[in-house]
Amino acid sequence: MKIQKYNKKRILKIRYLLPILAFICMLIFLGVWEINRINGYLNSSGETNMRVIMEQMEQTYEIQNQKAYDSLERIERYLFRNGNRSFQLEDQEDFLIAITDDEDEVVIFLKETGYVLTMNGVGRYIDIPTTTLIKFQQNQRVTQTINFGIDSDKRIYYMSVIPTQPFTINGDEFKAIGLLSEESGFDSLLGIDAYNGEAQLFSIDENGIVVYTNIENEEYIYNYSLMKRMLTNGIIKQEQYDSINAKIKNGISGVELIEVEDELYYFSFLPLESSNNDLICIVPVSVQSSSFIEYQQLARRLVVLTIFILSVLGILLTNFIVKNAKAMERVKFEEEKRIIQEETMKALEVEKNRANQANLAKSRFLSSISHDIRTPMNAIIGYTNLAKDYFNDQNKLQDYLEKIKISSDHLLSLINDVLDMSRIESGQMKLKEEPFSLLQVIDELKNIFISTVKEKDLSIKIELIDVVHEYIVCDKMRISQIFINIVSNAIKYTNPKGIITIKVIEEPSNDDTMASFKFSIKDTGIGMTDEFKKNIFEPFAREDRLSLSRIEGTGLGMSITKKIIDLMNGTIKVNSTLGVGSEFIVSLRLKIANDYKTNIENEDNNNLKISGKRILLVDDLAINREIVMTFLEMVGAIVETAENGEIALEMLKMSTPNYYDLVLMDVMMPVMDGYQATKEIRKLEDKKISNIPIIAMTANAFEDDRQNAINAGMNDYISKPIKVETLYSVIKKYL
Amino acid sequence: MRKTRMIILLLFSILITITISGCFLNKEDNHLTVYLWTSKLFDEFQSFVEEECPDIEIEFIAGNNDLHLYEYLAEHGELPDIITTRRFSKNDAASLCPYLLDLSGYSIVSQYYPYALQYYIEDTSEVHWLPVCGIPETMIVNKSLLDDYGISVPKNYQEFKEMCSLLVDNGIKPFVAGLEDDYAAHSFLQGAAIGKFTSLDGLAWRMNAENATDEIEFDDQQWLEIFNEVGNFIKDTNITSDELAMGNNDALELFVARKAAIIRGTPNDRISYQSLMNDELLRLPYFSQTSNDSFIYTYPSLNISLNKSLQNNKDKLNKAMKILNCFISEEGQRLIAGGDGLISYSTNVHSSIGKMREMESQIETNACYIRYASKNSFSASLEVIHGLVSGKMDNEEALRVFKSKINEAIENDKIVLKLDETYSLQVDDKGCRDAASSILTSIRIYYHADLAITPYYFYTASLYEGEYTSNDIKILVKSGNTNPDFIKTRLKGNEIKNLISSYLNDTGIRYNINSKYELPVVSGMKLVLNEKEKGYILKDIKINNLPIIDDEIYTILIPTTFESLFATSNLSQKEIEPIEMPLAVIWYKIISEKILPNAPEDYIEISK
Repeated sequence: MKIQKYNKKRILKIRYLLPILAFICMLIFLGVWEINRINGYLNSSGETNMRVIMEQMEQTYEIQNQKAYDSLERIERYLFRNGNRSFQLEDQEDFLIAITDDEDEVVIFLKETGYVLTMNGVGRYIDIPTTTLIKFQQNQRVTQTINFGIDSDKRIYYMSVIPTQPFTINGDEFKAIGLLSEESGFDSLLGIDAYNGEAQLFSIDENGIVVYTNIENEEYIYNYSLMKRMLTNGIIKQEQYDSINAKIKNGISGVELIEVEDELYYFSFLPLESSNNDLICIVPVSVQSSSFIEYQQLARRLVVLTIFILSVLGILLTNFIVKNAKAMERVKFEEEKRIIQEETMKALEVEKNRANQANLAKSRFLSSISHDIRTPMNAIIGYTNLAKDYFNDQNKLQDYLEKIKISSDHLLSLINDVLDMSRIESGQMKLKEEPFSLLQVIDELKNIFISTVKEKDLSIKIELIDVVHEYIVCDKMRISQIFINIVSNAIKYTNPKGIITIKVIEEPSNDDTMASFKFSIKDTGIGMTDEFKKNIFEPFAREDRLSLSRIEGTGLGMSITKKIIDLMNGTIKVNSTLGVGSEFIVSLRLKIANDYKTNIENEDNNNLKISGKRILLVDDLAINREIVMTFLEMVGAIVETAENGEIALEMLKMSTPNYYDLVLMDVMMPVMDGYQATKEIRKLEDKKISNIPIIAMTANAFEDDRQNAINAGMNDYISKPIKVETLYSVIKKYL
Repeated sequence: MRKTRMIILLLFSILITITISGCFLNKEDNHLTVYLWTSKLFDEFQSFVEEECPDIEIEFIAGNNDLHLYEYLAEHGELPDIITTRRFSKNDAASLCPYLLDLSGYSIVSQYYPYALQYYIEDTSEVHWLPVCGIPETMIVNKSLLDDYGISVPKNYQEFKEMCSLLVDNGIKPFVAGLEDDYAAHSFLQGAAIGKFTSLDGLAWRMNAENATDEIEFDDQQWLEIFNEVGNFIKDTNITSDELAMGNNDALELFVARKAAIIRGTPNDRISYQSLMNDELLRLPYFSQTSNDSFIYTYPSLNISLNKSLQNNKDKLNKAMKILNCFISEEGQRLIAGGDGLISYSTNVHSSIGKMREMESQIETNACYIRYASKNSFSASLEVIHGLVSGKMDNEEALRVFKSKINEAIENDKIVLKLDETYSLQVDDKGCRDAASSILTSIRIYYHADLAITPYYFYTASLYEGEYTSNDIKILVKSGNTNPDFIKTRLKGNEIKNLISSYLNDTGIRYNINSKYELPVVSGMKLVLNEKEKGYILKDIKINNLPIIDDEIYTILIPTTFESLFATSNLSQKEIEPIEMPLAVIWYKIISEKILPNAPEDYIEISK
């Protein structure tokens, strides 16, 4: 099990960061929402408050104007109390002085042309537009701010005028009476000091021109369009301008918010009942809603503080969680490490035990193998000596030679098994893929074991069930080995009169290229114990009672069989009952050989090919040369020999093309080994000689050796000890 | 890291490239064009504005006293930044409103007295025009002549009437009006009935006339009374038919000869008349015939407006406002008025009494009347005054004619010219004005002259591809009877060089040639100039790409005002062929003869 790396970054990963960020964002959102809600409430309250103030202001404004009008009416009534609408100004001087509150008020008389005569006798044309003069003609009362010079100094006055019936002063006709008031006095009457003097008050006429303002700036009394100025100066946008203008024109009152240099103002407007004018008041929101503003600011601070505290808590909590997580991760990491270590120790212990076991097995194997090797060797040596002694006794000689053969076969079998095991253990056993007849292999089993079966008075039955695909592609030798191992065991452990049944069952396959086979080898032998069944496929696994009975065997056969079956991706099962018998079931999926049938027909023709062929046999050992020569001459081959590769090379050089048909070359030789000799032969000029088939004979049993032989230029190889069938079949391939 | 640096470097390079290309490709022209209604303002007023606004590049053009010019320019998308006109009524200027800036939201309108600005306020409360510098036009009386006959200076109409009677008895013409010109008849009508025009009814009519969107309506009774008062005035001042053919100069002759006691005039007229005679001259207001009131008859020296497109460029708008403030400043108004005596319509400038002490009372009491002056009121006044003076019209007929003429629509003028090319009046990158060059070249060729030269301000508009009526043709060049005639003379090459060098160096010419906008227009030659810090130096003159030959004689067309340069250029009087027509007349003559304008020439070459 792999330990996951202890990674600091993993600890601080997004799963902790995202939630805290989301939490902070949520807090900010809630905070802003709350502040906006408070602002909205304050604005709404402020607007309501503003409306109320405006109405009061409008009433005050109207009252003050009405006061002026009342005063002018009294003046008119007094001046014309006798019905005489003509007087001399100087005659009314005392009255006019008395009627005016103080020096800040001046009574004026207006002609329809706009010429004004003050009660002090100063006359001038008043700077007012014709539209205002027309109002007098239309009997409208007018109030507005004007710049008027009573003497040489011009001052700003608030003018109230009432139209009258025509009257004459000093012979000139006048049509209105008015009152000029000092503007500052009028301002105070409106009582707008409640806003700390920060409220700006305007009265605008139907054209939007300011006719009164409390702001002491001459600019406002000359053609000052309040809304236009605000639009041009960017205080309000076109949309708001149009909206407010429309409301004013329609006589609607309202309160709007405007922004001037980052400060908010209430802009409230209200139509005046007594005229077509509107009253406008502009006051900073902060002044109008000062207490609310403080509350708002407090609330804002509280919200911000709350967000801050919660954020800090959140961060601390996250930090704690992160640290905790770090600690937990560390603990987890340590635990994992401990577990891994324990498991490693266990695995090491297991491996150690296995190694010890393997060591023990090896020791047992070596002990067993040395015994098993020694036994046939003793027999070979013993019978050889006897053969020498009884050389002239043909019967005994025959018997001894037979026994030598049996022992040597057994020894060879043992050695082969050991080599097979070694190859399998080292992963060097490679399966050949060759087409062959499965039924032929099964048939050959009969031939192999027929004599033994007769000797032990056993019977072998072979059953084929649903076998459709006879020809398969597989390693024929290993298939045979599997069956030989199992059948030989069956024969070994079945008492006389017993029956051995071999069943070949082909099961349905869903792959057109593969055939599924089940091979059952059942005997009526001595059976196995349950305990032995568990270990039957272990190397050198033999039941003790069998050892005692000295039944021959290497103890590797089943192990090898199992491993071969594993290589073929098959399975083997064993069912056994002590005293009743055993059944081995092998399941294999084998590739179907479609074209093989044609090919095997040709093989039979090859058997005659060796007769009359000249074969150069190269081996440094005389006994080996003798054995092979005998095998070859038995089938009619002509054999010439050489002791090493150099001699063989010279012989070939000296020969004529096609003199030799084939070379059997031992690999390990002094002077020149088989690989070197082959390379030199391949360099010969005459292609008919250099291309001669060369077959290696080697005691080296591994697949690599075959490849080495091929790489050297050899055509094939035969393993030593040489089996005559193998010798014949290989030679036939090249003749 | 390396990759990040590469990306930052790439972005920076792109930014620099965009900025630089923006600098070179989109260099905005921030110079302002100012159309003055008269070239007289080039004298001192232009210099004043340039001194007050040294950081503003201004191109002054002398327009015509005609709103039609501005309509023409506006239709072709070339309305100047600042336009001025003298004759103006809000009604006449209605078609220009969409192109003009609404000044009602700017502080400048608060510098105006409401009584003055009221005639400029639209129904929508917008203000597109502003009056500048009221010129008081009064009766100028020869007090010495009155003293000779023991006649008091009148203080009201009754006394005025008595004065006139006494003068008649002594064989003195009380009032010489010089009614040949429309402007004389115009002021005569409104001055004579000033009491009616300043009454509430008169003011109301005026207000309605300014605001009329269709025909101007008349209260018949009111106007019959007006014409009645005009008739009284004609009778009382003993105006006779011989004055109908008398221009101002003729009237002046009589006045100076002490054959007439009163003449109409502005403060500058008074000064100029005073210089012609030793008698004491006083100014008399116009008297109301129905009261003791008297009024100063005034008119704006000019009316000014700004192009609406200025609001799209804050920098240009601020510059334009600065120039506008120059117009209504105290010094600006004084220069516009020509020196002595102006009635200020703006609160920041006091009315200048100057030598108008006798008018102190009217000024103090603000007894000023701003004349009504629509484009038709001058011709209408001329017709009715002539009719009334000649006796061919009675009051009813006068009213009928007046109403008809006031509401007279412009006749569908016939097409007199079809142009297939457009020539711009704007100064191109070489310093040339194609429209001006085309016109001058046409004139030069018409008069078979080798060369020609005029000031740049003789030309008022670009020539656009399309059809032109006779009215259209007239507005393309500066018109008016104050414009100089042309002469054709023969000069040597080196004399021409001296002439033009003198011209460039401001020796007696009205305005300074400080920038490419003020360079003269020439034809038949190319002026090779070196640019100096302020102005240009003549390096050479080329004719057909070859240097002018000093000793060779060339015929050249020049305006008569250039004759003053002869002395400074050491030129003696040469054989001069007077053409006795100003540019406008010549131009109209050429077009009437179906002569198409010539292609413009490249007549300027400037090197630094």
